Amino acid sequence: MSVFKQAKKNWDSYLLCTPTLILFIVFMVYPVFYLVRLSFYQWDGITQMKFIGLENYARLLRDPIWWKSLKNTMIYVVAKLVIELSLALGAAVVLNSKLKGKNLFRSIFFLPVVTSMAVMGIVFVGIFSPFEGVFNLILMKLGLISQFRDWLGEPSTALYTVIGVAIWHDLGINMVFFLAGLQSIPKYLYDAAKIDGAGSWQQLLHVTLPMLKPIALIIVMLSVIGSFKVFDIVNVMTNGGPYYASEVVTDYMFKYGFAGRGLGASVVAQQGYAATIGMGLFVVIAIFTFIQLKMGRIGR
Amino acid sequence: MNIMRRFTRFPLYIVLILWSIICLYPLVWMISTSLKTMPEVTEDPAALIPETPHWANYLETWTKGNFGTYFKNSLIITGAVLLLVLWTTSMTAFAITRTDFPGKRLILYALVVTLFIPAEATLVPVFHIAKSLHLLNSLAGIIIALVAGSQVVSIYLIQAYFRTIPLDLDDAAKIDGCNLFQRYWYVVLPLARPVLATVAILTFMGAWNAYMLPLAFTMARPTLRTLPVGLVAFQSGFAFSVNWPLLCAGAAISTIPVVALYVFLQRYFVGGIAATGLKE
Repeated sequence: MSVFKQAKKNWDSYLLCTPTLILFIVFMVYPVFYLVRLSFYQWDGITQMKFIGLENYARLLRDPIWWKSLKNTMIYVVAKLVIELSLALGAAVVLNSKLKGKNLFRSIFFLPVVTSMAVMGIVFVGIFSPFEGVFNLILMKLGLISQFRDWLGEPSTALYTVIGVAIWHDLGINMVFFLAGLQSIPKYLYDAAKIDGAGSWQQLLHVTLPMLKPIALIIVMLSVIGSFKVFDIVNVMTNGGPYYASEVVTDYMFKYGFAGRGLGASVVAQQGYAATIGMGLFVVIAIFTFIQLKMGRIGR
Repeated sequence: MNIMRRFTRFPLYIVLILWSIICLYPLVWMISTSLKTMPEVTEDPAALIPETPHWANYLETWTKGNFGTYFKNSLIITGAVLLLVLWTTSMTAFAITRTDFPGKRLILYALVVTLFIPAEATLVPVFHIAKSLHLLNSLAGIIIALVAGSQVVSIYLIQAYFRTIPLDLDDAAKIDGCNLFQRYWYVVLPLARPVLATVAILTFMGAWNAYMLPLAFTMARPTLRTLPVGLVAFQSGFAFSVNWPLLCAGAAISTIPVVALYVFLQRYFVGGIAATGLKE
């Protein structure tokens, strides 16, 4: 049967796929080509587009704030990866044991995940605010600081404060991923280890962790890709400030793309340049995904 | 041995309780501040019980802060996205698991590749496409763009579940004279309720909490703002002295529905999230 006949016979299958395919092509595939094209133009989003060749890319390479935002994004990625995932793994291991009240702890740890990053970001701005903020008061009472600090307003602390809030929000999701991984480990492996005389630490090191590896690789990948795309929390809490100290790639792109919140970068949108920053993000994520896929293969 | 174990468990509980407090405190602070007056906040921001609960804050935020409009927009967007995602992705998942047609492979590969495309990077093009389709002057633009964005993960989850439903059922229905659409609607879909619930909850969370896309789409159209976008605009509206009680009331209005849903449907939330990590 020819392809054409086969296609004709399966008209009903195509009909079922049509809504998805239309949305997919119009809002996922076409935008990628549009993005590539736009990155060669100068455009405010309204008037005539002007072709400028590779100028946007040359500008990107020379733009210190792009590099700064990329560096901050990397710090965010690494901090979330190292701190959040190890805490989440610890929480999952502990809450997978026969501990009283483990279900309650699980529910509470997961609660921040369901809240909106943007909304809770604003609440945290209140908590961290220099004068009426509770965070300063608590640290003061514990004797950890001697004077109030502006956690989100000082260049040295802004990014790390934002990272702390992001960890607050996302720890639960990774805990749940790890828990699902732990529960997929067959019980007989532990029984065998016990017969061989392995204690609980040895079981953790020689059974749990090696068995968790395939899922851990996926969790790491999801975390890294997700972190590279961080926007909400930075936009809401610091908007990249002060003086780009906590700027990240997506937020920097948004400033040029929509000339919106905190017109620090530009009053008129520069959408061609925004597209170039988007391309930059694209390339960075592609590189890291590639590295991770390679590493996953070697690990296997 | 038993004593040893108690001895090591005690610090463990302290850590667990401490992190529980950290998880809950911001939400408690938000609710308590939303019921205070501004002088009360400046006097003692850490006091968790307001002198007299100031419910009027909610009324003021709802009417003067436009949260009524934002709430309505969020509700419409979330509801529409939910229905559209469930409908379109279950149809596609059905077609790719139940039939074999030229181009199926291509669709499957395209879906895999899309998982690695950062939707954030293509926001500017997506905005212009929506604009040229005249979708920006109503909530339709946000709805359609959000549906497009959450399709891939949903298709993965649903098709993985569909594969566990025996094909014999389809064949039996076919012999009884059911066409493809009838088999989708009467045979497979009713059996797929658990995965549809999972996808519904994930989509609900994603749409209700979405920020970047609605922010870009409503930049010039304040009446179309959703709750998170409206809250951020509300905050920017206070030039130097932020009215925290009102702002927290707004934050509570945005947060309480999703937290309430979590409390009642916890199992599905946790199960659904776990599925996204494992099934990819």
